[in-house]
Amino acid sequence: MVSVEEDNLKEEIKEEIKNALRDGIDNEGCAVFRVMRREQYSPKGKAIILDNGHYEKILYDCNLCGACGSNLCKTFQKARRVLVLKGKEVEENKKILENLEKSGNVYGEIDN
Amino acid sequence: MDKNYELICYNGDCSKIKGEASNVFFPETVAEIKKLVLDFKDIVPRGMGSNVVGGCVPYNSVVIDMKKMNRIDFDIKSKSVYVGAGVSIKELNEKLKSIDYEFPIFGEGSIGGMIAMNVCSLMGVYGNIKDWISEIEFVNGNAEFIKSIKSDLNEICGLEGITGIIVGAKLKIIPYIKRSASIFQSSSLEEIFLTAKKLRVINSVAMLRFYSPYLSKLLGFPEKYHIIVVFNHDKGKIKGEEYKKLFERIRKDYYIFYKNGYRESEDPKFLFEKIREFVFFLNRLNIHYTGDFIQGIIYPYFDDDLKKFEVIKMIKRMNGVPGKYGIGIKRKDRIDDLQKKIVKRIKLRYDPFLKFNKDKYIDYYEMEIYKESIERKREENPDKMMDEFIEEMEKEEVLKMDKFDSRENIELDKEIIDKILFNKDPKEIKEDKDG
Repeated sequence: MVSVEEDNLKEEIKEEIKNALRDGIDNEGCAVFRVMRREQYSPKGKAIILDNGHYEKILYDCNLCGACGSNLCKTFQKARRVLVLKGKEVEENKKILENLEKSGNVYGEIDN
Repeated sequence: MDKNYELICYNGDCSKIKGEASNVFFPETVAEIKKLVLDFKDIVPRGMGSNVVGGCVPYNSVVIDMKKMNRIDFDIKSKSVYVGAGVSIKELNEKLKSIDYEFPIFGEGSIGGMIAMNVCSLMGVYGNIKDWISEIEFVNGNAEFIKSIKSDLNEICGLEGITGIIVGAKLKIIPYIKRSASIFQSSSLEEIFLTAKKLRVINSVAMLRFYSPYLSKLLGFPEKYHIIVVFNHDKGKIKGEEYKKLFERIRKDYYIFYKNGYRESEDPKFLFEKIREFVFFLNRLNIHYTGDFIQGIIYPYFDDDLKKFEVIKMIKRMNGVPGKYGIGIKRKDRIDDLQKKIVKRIKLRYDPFLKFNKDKYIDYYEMEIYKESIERKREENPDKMMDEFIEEMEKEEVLKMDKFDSRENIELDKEIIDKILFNKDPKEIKEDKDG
């Protein structure tokens, strides 16, 4: 069952993605895209995937650094929230939370 | 491509035309590309996907994403660099900067895509990318790997990927130049044109970017006409970090215009003397524009389809040619019959099975009809074919000249041409004619 929070987030995301795609997205600055060299890893690619209603783990392939010069980082963050609500969270994320709980830092306890 | 949702990213480009990719491949070697060309019948090569006229929109086609062809090899001795088709201009210039060199065709997109479009540099003085190519490597429709030198460049460069897949190119590079800029501002269009005319002949001027008052305002300048003058030295008023910021703003100016609702634009190229006429026309229709005074390209921006339609009509009437965006799917009506015939012939020679970029530049059905007619002729009388082609071309040339002569403004054009080429005074031209 879709929660109200998920539904609201999806509505907001839909609107933001529509605007971003209409105004143009700059892929050139994206560090992930420059290394992966596939369209789906670019900010525009991820926006197209979201625009088509797909909430997938590829949304975690974003540094949220803002180098694309758009507000998409915020939108991708919202989309990640939807992923968590859907139970599609990535293992790495769970590990970070676990580490934080255990040791207070994202890397966990480190042997010195 | 293992996930269907990822395939959606390849259904279109920046033109907003939607197609459908049947599959996507990411070759890393020439051998892989050759195999793909042998295996598939309908192929769309793709670089950065930044085409605005539908140049890489697939119609149930296989997309070959060239971004993994990203080799860069410098040869400082010959002042050249080998670049894979998938490298972006920005990436290339970042690498070149580390050895104090640069590739002066500033723009956006991959090297392969930019060669296919024969784009012009943002700094008009450096001309088009074709002038900077020593050699192109590409794979044709028979899956043959070909190295094309200067004399054959016209058959690949500027043909928008319909003759083959560009794999890489050897490009000329220049030592890195520390540039600077100055801004000229005026409320008078006449003054702007007079200044531009003077600045055009100065050797150290690399770019003369022109903005109408409203677009100037959107870029953060006062609401007046502006010419951004970039110099190939550091004696301009704006230099260092400030210059870099200004140049980035100009390079990405269209994002600002898009965000303000001006999402469509045109790119007619004229003789300098005709730009004035065209700009006055745009002012009458209250259309905002930017332009490159060195290349002679004006970019009107539209928020309204009706105005765009009127402008296209005027561009055709004034014999403006596409300056930067190319033909793609959107603008097939912009090429004349003679050009079409030449392109069809070149396409068939390099891509006999019509595999590449279907329905771009020339309608696919037209290409098929042409192919059938050629095959029929070849069967009937192969020796006659070349004679017929030459005869046909000559006829077309005559027809074109007749059409040109019948234009109302022919006298004006001749005067302009004489003035530019021979520095003749209009009075002198009249005397010549009477004499």
